[in-house]
Amino acid sequence: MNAPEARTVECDALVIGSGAGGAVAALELARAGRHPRVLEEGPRVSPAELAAATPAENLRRLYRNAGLTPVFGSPVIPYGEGRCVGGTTVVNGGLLWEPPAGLLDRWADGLGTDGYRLRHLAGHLGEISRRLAVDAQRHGAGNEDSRLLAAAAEVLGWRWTLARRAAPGCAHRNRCPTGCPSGAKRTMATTYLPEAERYGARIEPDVRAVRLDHDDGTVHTVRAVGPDGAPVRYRPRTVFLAAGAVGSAALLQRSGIHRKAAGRATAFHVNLRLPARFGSALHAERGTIFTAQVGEFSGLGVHVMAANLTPGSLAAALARQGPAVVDALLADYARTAVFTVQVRMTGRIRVGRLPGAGTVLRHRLAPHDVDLLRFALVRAARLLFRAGAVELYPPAPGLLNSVRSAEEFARRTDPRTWDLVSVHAMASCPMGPAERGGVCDPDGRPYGFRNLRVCDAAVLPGPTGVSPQGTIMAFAHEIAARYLTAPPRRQR
Amino acid sequence: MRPDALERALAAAGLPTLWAARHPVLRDPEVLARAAAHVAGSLRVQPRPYRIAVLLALRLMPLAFLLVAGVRVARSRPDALAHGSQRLARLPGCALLLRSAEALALYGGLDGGPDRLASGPAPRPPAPPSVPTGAPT
Repeated sequence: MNAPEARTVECDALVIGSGAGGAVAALELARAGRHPRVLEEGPRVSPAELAAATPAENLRRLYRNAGLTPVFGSPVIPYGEGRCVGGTTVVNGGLLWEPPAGLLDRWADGLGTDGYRLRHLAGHLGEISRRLAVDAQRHGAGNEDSRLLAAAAEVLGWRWTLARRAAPGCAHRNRCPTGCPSGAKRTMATTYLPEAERYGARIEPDVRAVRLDHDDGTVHTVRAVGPDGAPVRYRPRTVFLAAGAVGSAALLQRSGIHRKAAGRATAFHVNLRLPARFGSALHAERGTIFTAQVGEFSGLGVHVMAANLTPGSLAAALARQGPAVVDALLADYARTAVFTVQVRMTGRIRVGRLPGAGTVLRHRLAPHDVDLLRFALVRAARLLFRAGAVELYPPAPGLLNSVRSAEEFARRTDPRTWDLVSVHAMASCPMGPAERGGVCDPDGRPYGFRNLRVCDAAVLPGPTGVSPQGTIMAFAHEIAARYLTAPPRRQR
Repeated sequence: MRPDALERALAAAGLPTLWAARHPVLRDPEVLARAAAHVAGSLRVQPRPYRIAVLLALRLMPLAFLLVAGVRVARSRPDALAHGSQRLARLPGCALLLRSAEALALYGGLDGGPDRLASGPAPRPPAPPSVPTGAPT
C-alpha cells in the first residue's frame, strides 16, 4: 500500500503552536489581514468538555505525556506543559505577572535586548491586561490557606502580594491545573484565538509540525502530520514558531537550524510541594489555586504560595511518605493544605535527541541550586509554622514539626533525592548575542533566517523567576509588531 | 472494553493488587478500576520508547518479584505483597517506577471520579479507617 501523498497548503503566515506566544502572533497577524494558519499538536477542548470530564481525564488529555515528560538527572523531574489549543494557558493558574523592570534591564544591558525594556513593553502589557481582564485575585469566601500564608508573612515582616490573575469572576472551583470548568479563566483558547479567528485566522488542532525545510535562510516548507496521520506540507511566506521551550528547540534541531545551540541551555524553575496539617479546619479545597504569593525571597527566585487541593493530588504528593500518612491526611482533609515553593534554577536543561527515542531532556542541578532548595524549604517551613501548620511533609520521607526539624531535614538530606516537578521552562532558543549562546536576533529570528521568528518562552533571554506568561506574551507582541511594521523587502 | 496490553501488563505485574493492599482508599473496586485506568491511560500517551520500556519492566516484574520475595505475585497475601514490593524497590530503577505508578494510581483513583465541584458541593475524600498518628494538635 502506498503512503498517502502529502497535501500542500499555501499560506501567507503560519504559526506553530497556540499557547501564550503563538496566540499573540495569530491575533496580531490576523488583525493585519494576513489570515494565519495556526498549527496545534493537541486537541481543541471547550470549557463545557473540560467541565464534563474528570480531573484525571483532563490531565491525560490536556498535557503532553499526561504531565509526565521526564527530565533525566538527579532527581528525575517530571515536566508538565499543555498540549492543546491554548497551550499551557489552559492548565496554568492564570497568573499574569509583569516582568520585573530590573530583569528586563539586566537582559538589555547584558544581552543586547535593548528594545525590550519595561518602557518598550509597557504598551503590550497594558493591552494584555485589558484583553485578559487581569486584576488582583481577592481571597473571597474561601482561600483560607492563602489568607493564613499572607497573615504569617505580615507577622514576619515578609513581602507578599495578592495574585494577579486573568480570571474575572473566578468561581473558585479549585480545578485550575486541569482546566477551568467555569470558563472564568481567560486562556488563549477563550480569548486571543477566537478573536484571531474572527479576523480570519484558521486554527488547526491535532496537527504536528515535524520539520522546517529551508534554503539560504528562508523556510519554504513546514512538514506536518495531520489529524488522520497523513502528511501535510505548508508553504508559508512567514513562520512564527511558538511550540514551547522544549518543542521549539526540538523542531529547530530536527530541521538542522542552530542544531548545537538550540535547546542547549534551557532555563527552568522547579516546584517542591509541602503538604501541611493545621491545628484547625481551613477547608483549603474551597478556593482557587492561590490568592497570595510570598515574594520575600524573590530576588533569589523563590516564591511560596498555596496550591490546589484535591484528594488525588494530596495523596499523590504524599505517596512517598507511605500509606499511613496518606490515610491520616485524607482522614483529616479539613485541616490539610498543600503549598508550593517555586525556585528558579541556575542549572539548565539540555534538550536533546536520541535516535529512536525522540526528544530527551536532561538536567544537572548546580551546587547553588542544591543550597537554594535547602534554603527555600527552611524559609517556607518557617512561614508555614507561623501560619499555623503543625506538621509539614517534605519532598522526601520525613515529618517536620518545627523550624528546627526543617533545618535538620534540609541539612541531612540531599535535594537531588527530593520529589521536584517543573512547569516552567524557557530561554531554550534565547534572544541574545550568538557568542553568548544566543540563537535569535532582537526581532526573534534565528540568526541567518529571514522569514522565521520564535515568539514563545524559548526566545526569552533567560529565566524570569516568576510565572512567565506575561513576559512571553509581551515579547510575542513586540516580535509580531516588529514584523508587521518592518519595511517591505525589496524583491531579488 | 477489552483491556489493552498496558492494562493487562499492570494486572499481571500485580500492581493494582499491591496498591489495594497498601492503601485502604483504593480497595473499593470502582476506585481501584479508576486508578488502574489512569495509570494505563497515562502510560498510553507516553512516547513509544518509554511505553515499550515500561511495558517490558511490567512484564518482568512478576519474575523479579519471585526472585526477591520467593513467592509469586498472583499467590501472595497482602502482607507478602507489601514486603515483596519493598524488596523489589531496592532493585535499580524499580523504586522510581513503583513510586510513580503508585502516585498515579492514587491520583487517578481519587480524582478520576465525577467532578462534583463542577456542579455541586466540594468532594469529600473516601474516609479510610482512622489512623492514629500521635501528632500534636
